[in-house]
Amino acid sequence: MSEDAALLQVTRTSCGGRLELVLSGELDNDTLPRAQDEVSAAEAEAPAVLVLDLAALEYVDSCGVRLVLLAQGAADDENRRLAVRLGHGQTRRMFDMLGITDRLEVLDREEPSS
Amino acid sequence: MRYRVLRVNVGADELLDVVPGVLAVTSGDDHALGALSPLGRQVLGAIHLDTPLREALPELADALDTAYRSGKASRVPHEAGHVIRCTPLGVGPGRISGLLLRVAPDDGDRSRARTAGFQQLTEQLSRAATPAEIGRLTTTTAAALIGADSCIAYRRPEGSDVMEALHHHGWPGDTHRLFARVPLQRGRPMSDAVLGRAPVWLEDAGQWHARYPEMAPLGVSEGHQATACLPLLVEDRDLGAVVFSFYQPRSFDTSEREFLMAAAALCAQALDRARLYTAELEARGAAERERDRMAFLAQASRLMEAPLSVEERLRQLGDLVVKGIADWSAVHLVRGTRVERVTVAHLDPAKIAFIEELERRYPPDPEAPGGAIEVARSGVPVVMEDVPDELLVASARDETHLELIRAIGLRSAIVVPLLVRGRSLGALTLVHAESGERFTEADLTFVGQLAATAAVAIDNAALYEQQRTVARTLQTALLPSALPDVPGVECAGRYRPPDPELTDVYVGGDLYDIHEDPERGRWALTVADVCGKGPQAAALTSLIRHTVQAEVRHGFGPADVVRRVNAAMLRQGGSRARFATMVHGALTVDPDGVTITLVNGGHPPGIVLRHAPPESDSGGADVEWLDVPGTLVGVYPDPELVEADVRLAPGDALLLYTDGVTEARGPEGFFGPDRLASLVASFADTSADTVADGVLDAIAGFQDGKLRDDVALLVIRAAP
Repeated sequence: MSEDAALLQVTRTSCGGRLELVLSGELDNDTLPRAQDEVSAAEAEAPAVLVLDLAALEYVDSCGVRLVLLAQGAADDENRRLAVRLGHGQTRRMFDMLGITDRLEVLDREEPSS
Repeated sequence: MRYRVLRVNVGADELLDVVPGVLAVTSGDDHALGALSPLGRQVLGAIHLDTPLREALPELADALDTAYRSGKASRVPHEAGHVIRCTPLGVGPGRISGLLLRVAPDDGDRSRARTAGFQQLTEQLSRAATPAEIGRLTTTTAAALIGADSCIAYRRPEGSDVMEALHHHGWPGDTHRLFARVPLQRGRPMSDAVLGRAPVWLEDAGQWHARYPEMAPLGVSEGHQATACLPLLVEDRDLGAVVFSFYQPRSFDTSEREFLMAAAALCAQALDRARLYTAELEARGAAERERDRMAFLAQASRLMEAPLSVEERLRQLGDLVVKGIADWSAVHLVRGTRVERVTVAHLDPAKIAFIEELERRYPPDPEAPGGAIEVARSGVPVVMEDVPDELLVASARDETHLELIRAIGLRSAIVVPLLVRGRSLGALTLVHAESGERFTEADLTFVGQLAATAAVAIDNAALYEQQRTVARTLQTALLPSALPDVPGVECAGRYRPPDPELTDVYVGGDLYDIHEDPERGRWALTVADVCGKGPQAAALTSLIRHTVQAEVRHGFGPADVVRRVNAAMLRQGGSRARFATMVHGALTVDPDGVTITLVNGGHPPGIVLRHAPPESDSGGADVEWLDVPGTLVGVYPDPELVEADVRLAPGDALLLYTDGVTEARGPEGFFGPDRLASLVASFADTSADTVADGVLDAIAGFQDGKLRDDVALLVIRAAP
């Protein structure tokens, strides 16, 4: 458990009705339960907007998609907004490949302006 | 104050015959000589009867007067170590009729000697730690001090009604054996002393016969006359008794009694101290044993978690047991209707060989009752503090067999069932032989814990094996047993589960399949990957496979097949947590090659490896990525799915795979698409099987042979 904790870090910031979770490290089958706990805790506060920032993850597999899809489902059920940051690396490529980037509210959809 | 006055019902002359050391008897306050013994004539001189001794022996006058007036014995120093004692005669104070004069050992010297002896005894007893040592000192030092000829010291074990001899001294031959264990019974001198918590004094054989007529023959059989039985008491604790015996009659007068009782009290206190000391030692020993046992159990638990086969674990457990807690150990397991011994351990391999040879010559009857087999079946433990010879006799087939079993030297054994979830899986047997140690009921808890640890490990291993069998069976059902023969096409499919060391029991969600659609003269091919693993993932995988087969048969084109799979998944699960990616295609063969109409539901892109004709000047293989966009399946009701045609010329190959390939992680990072592309390029113009095996080997090798995620591959190659 402590190893998992070391592999995945989650920091949260809250501003108005917007609660943002920034995930860094590795998100896979081993660390998914911890990430889900963090998301559940955030959802319990029923923020108007919950932001999952996956851009800083060093590794993410389909578990990251599961995390987002579950959070989207919960937000839809409770009429809240879910938004994500995917960055422009592996995470974004995976979401693109799965064909779901267009179905999510992606805050950093456009290429970063240089 | 009690007056020590002899009540005399005999005449003065008779008195001279019965009292040892008597000199004379006087009467009246002038101490007129009433009788004179021969000894008296020697000591006092030839004095005429009726002569007042006050006048005849003026040096005795004060002592005579004192005794007569006070009613208490007085004395006058005589020869070395002796005194002349003047003892009043009569029926009470003021009714003294006369005096008895006798020579007696000087009490003063005796008491000084006794005081010194007492100090010595006290010192020695204070150093004695064990009841046996205290018993020895009581029967030697204390008995000598008292002047006893024989002595036996007993202890009374707490709550027991049988006295156990601690030590004996001065009993001829082995007569003491008669008194080694004495049940307490009223009407016997020692029993009366113990049960009455007061000494019993028997001054001579006459008193023995008068008071204990039944016991007297035994009491005086060795020529003893006097006996003193003293209970060893400290507060309310009965610790034992000491019996002093004397060959001469002995009058236990008050000072004598006080002295014997004081000696007995010293012994009793020493015994009490030893009891506390022993109790403390035992408590400390028990604590140390408990600590050792906890350490042992911890060691056994670690062993039971080691990544070893059940047999190997049990073998190592047996070795551990014989290093620490028993001479022999064995484990029996219930297998179907039989109980089989799976391990036997002893530090000496020759002894194990002996047992194995024994069992070869006399194969144990697994149906025979008794011992480990019985315990394994009944689940009821057995403790044999002593293995009785009758048991060996009963279990022996013949004389030789009996001899051989006896040669093992079984002394003590404990057999506990391997219980888990109310079921007995077998039995653990521990045996003490040459060590001479013994198992008792008290060992049941510890050995039971050890057996429980082993039982849980065996049970887990069995469950694990069962789950693996289920998983393997399930996995097999998810994949085609063999790919069909597609004319003009080479097909190769591969699946490899993750390394068992890296995952729990595994049923993967990866799938590949090819099947014929004879009505339309096509072939359907599928590669899919359900997110997650375990039974739920397997159920979805199965759903995908069978939905594809059904919808293909219904004549749907690839995109509609995937849409129907998507709809089926939504109906089935409805949970966004479970999704899948899949690539599905319809393959048709024509004389110039193969056409595949592909649909991609969020799946990693396929790769086409183009045949490089020898005359081509490109000089190398041509690899193309098949980027067909599409939405993963099982989440959204309206997936975006498009069909794209891929044309394979003879010798061209298509590789479809799951993300276990590109996302394989090794020391060099991710395997990734670039590495995959160049790997595939290196297999130009090789068979479909070669490509599939080559990719699988590369992926495994990249992860040091240990797959983290499962991998499925499908290679379709148009025959060259």
